[in-house]
Amino acid sequence: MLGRSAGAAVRLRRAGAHGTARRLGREVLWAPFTLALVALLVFVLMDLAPGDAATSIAGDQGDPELVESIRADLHLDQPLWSRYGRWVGDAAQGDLGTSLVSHRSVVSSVGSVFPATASLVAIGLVFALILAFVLGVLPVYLESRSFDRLASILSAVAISMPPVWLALLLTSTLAIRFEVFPALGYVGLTDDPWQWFRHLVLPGFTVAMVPAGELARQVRGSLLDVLGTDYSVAQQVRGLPRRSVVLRHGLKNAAIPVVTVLGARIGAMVGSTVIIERIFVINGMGELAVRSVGSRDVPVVLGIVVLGTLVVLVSNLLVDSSQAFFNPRSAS
Amino acid sequence: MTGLVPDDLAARPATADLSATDPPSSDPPAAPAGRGHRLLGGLRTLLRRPVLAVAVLVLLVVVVVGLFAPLLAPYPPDISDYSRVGRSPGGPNLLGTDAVGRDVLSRLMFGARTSLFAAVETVLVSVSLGAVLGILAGYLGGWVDAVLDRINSALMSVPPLILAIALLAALGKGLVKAMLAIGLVYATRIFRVARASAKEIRALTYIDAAEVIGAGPWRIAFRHVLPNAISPILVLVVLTFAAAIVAEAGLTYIGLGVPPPTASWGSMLHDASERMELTHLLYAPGIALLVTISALTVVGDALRDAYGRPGGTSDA
Repeated sequence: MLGRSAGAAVRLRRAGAHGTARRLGREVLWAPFTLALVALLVFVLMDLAPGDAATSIAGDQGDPELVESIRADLHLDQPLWSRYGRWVGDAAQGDLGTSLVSHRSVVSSVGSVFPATASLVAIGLVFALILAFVLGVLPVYLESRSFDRLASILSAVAISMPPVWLALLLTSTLAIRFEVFPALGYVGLTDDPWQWFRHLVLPGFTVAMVPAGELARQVRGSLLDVLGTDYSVAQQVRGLPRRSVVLRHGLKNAAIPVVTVLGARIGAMVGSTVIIERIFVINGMGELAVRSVGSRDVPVVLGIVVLGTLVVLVSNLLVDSSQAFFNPRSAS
Repeated sequence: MTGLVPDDLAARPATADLSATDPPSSDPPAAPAGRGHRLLGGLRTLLRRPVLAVAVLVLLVVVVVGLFAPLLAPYPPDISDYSRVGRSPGGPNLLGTDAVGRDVLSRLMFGARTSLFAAVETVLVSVSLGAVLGILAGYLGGWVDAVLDRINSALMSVPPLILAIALLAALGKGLVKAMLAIGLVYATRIFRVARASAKEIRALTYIDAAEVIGAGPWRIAFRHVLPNAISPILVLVVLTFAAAIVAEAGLTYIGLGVPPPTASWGSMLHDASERMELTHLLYAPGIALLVTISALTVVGDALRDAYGRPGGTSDA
């Protein structure tokens, strides 16, 4: 059994890499269609809604002739299909149109705020993983019943924590009363890395809280499952150090469902920036989305939707390919 | 057990958290008993699990307060009284007054009403759309399923709040529209679960039997498939209910939900953010939100454990 398994493992790993590559390839091919479909749905929705960008530029009481001329300028007088076709054609060449309000290109106006949102989500991810380790892995590793119970309660509270309230609590205590962290604003990573981090601590913590609770529960559950399996018991009986049993072998095998949960939360984390950026006055993608909705700046809204979707699709791909790393057998 | 893993840790079900003191066997098996038995079983479960009982009680209180806010509230919620601005809790205003002299307790009660309305609207929209289309897609299969599933997974890959914002760009502002948008977002999650259950149930023999008898596809989908797909949908409904309350607070906070001066927990948080020195303004709506969401989480977990659906991915 043991003698054969090495060769079998290699074969499995090869088959796994192959199957995964094919599945990933299919997903990559689907991604542009998914993006085009999302754009079409937004197009149709915007079309169904009363009023358009022309009326919001000219104002409700605007001169009808002025509205008509703006409409012609923006090609809004053309039928839905031709506008959508034009958008897809341009998008394929990397041109997402021009903002109706700022007259900047959508790619540059969304691109200029994207680093702030990406930083916020990245810091949020790191915080979520750290918190999940403390609340989900440490209690199992330390075999402490009271710590485990406390951590379980804290995880449940984290899942139920309304982000708006958490943000205000953090601001009123750590920023206003104790002045440990800045209450608002954003500093670019390249401008000043330390200030970048300081400004992202409170918003990052807010983004991290709910996913941290879910991850902690998931990692605790799957870790306990793994520690109950025969091979893990065998390791424990043979006297492998607990650190090796839990942190090395256990965590690697428990990682699969955990990474899946993490991948499923990325979209929600990106979405939550819509509200969290407003609270912490971060000029990011979410903040731009809210402003553009107010001015019915359809090209910008569309650009943000497409970019947000792209982030989710890419992170789904990363999750899928990491499954092959954690479990070569998963490819079948 | 393993010997090295303490039994109390190893014996616990992966999803049980707050109810961790119960052995996993304490959930009554979902026996196909009569209605009365099931109710009694439910009550027994409640008595055996104090945390769950408290959660159900909390939700009952929120519902009753929300429904009867006009009768229960000691003061009108929207009327400013500049003779009692920014009072701390205690005295005639039990939870104090806000920056323009409105009674915080009364606003909290009317805020429960807003949350309740928001959550019910979201659930109605998401279930009527997601469950109906999901069951149709899963049961019919073929190109209907392929098209609907492709559209649904495209929508699911849009970050939820960004999708809601895009929908609001089309719909406009206001609570009803905001929650319509949130309902559409969560319809995609319900669609996925309903479709999966319908696919599973469709393969069972009694569906074949119904087809042989000559029942039409609509009848089979909604008389035979739907009732059996209810449990996983119900778990999701509880999570959607919680997510809707959080979303209402968030959208109102950024000015896309309830317009002022209407009371909502989100608008109360917004008022509090403008007067950070009046801390009681921050704690009242925040604790109300946290307690309500926690209660819904506990109930959702209990339902999930009872139905044995694995995993904790609500991705709400």
